Amino acid sequence: MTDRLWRAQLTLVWAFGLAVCAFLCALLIGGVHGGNGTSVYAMVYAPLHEGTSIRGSLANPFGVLTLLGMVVAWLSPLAAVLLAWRGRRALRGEGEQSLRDRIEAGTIAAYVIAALYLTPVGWTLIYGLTRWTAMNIWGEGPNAANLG
Amino acid sequence: MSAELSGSAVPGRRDPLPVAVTAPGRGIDGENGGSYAPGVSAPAPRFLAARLLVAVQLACVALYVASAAIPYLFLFTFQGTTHCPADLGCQAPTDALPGALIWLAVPAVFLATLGPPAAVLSLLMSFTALARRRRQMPAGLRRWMYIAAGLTVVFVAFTLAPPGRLLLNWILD
Repeated sequence: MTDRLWRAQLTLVWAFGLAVCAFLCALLIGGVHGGNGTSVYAMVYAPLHEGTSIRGSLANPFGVLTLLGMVVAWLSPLAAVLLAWRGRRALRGEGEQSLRDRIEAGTIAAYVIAALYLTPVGWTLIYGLTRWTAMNIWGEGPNAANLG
Repeated sequence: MSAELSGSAVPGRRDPLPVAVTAPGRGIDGENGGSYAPGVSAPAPRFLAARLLVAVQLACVALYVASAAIPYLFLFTFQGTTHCPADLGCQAPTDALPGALIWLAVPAVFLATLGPPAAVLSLLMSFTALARRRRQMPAGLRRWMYIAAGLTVVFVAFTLAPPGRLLLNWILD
């Protein structure tokens, strides 16, 4: 039971939370989406509206935001499983009470994050952030291949 | 980053306190990096940041309900969904919200678009504060932090669910 484990768990929670925040920013204020606007599912998964296409650019600020979120979203299930397992093992041992409290909270959070990847929340996070990153950098739409 | 943003009320004190001694209203000698003389107890932490966080979370949820959900249900009940001419659509915000009610649309727009990302950040702060210092908090504050965090989760979930999306589109309409 070490402070490093708690630091790692806290970093995981904040990284995952910021990835969710990036997803929500891209969803709510980030511009063009597919499908019908009342459904998050369609905004994430559906093709763009008829006649809409997006010319991507590496300089797109939303591209950088979603790229960082995408990296976190892909890596955090692995990190969550690892840290939940290590936290569980650490909690079996002895330790200072305040450190125990923090590692307990961090372990629960790691379990929650790992469990989220068994639900559509986690997949949508991965798919949405990956798609929007590709869309912001390379472009998407009916003529995306001819945009240069 | 998290240490600054966490709900620790006394910024100078980063080290966790030993648990057994912290009754409310009593401090611990020899803590606080020696800024107190021996024998003089440090003041008990007041958790100002945590209280502020709870207040902000509750205010966000309450304002969202008051400025988005209630006007929508009110207008839906008394006018139906066709508040604008079908051929022209809404020409001005005052078409949908008559008179002074239009001022409700200002917080509603901000809360519906920027609210969920901000709520996620506030949840991260709640988690950090609760994880580090939940044992030193007064029981009432701890309970309020759990309640406020739960309401914030419900708020985020609702805004992403179809009724919430409907509300957002109605607000932006």
